[in-house]
Amino acid sequence: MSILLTQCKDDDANIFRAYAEGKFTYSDGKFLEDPIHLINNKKIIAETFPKESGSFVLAGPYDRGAYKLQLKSFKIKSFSTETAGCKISSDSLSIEIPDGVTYIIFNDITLK
Amino acid sequence: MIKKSILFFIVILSVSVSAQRRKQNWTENVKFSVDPHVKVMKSFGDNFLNEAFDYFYGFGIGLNTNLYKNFGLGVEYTYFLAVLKKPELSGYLGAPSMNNFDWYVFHKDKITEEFFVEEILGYSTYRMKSQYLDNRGKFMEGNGGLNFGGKAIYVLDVEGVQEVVLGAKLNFYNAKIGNQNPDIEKYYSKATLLNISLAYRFNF
Repeated sequence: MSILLTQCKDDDANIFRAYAEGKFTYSDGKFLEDPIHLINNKKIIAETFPKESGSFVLAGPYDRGAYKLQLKSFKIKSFSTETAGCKISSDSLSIEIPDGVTYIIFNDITLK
Repeated sequence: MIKKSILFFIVILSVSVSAQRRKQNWTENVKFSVDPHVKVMKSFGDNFLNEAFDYFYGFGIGLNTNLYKNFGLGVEYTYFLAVLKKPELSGYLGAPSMNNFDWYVFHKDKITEEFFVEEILGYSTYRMKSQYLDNRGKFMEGNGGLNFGGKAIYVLDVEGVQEVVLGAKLNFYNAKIGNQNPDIEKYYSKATLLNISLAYRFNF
């Protein structure tokens, strides 16, 4: 029954695009070789590789909940954004973005 | 010449009306056609259908019924595929497929014995489907929008059974994708697609 209901409502505005844009400050060129992801509910919803300038754009579909910007192996030291409520995860590999935020600009993300 | 043809038209009309009074019914003039087609569809401007994907290409079938005088109703179903251009904008998804129905009213004009044109106005539904690359499941979004355009029809045989149809349409695409930034919302929700079709039509 719940499957039927979710199928019926997917025409409504229950689909969101998570959109994240920003710039990394990095020193090791190997950083450019790894993909960066947006992850919602343990699922990768968007993937890209950072440009040489460190800038990136990521967008992916999801329906609800928090999501995170995740790196593969490089750790995050600090970040700056005007959006409140974001924090670095305990393993320092990702920035957690709270529920309800669908558009976020990171002015800078500095790696360790 | 014009006077003559008007006179001729009035004569024909009065004959046919009196004939209709006796036994004819308008349903006797109802005609049907079926046309398998190929289509190419491309979005323009600042929207994700244009920037995330290359053009859409597909095939399908159309059904038309000429109901009254030169007016009729039709529906076309097309299965589209598209090539990914900028995957980082569409999400971690495979190349999409799309089920598209165009429902429309048409008006047919005779240009010569072998050549006709049709003007078309209708409504389209779109259902886009992509596979999540990460794991399990599909991502789907359903949308709709107006369509209008025209078709050029060339008759291939004396009986008028087989025809080649070349069509061009504008399809408006309106989805409801949510985002806090209205520009991003519009970018993912609205597009105008130019749609070119080539069909082989059978009348019966």
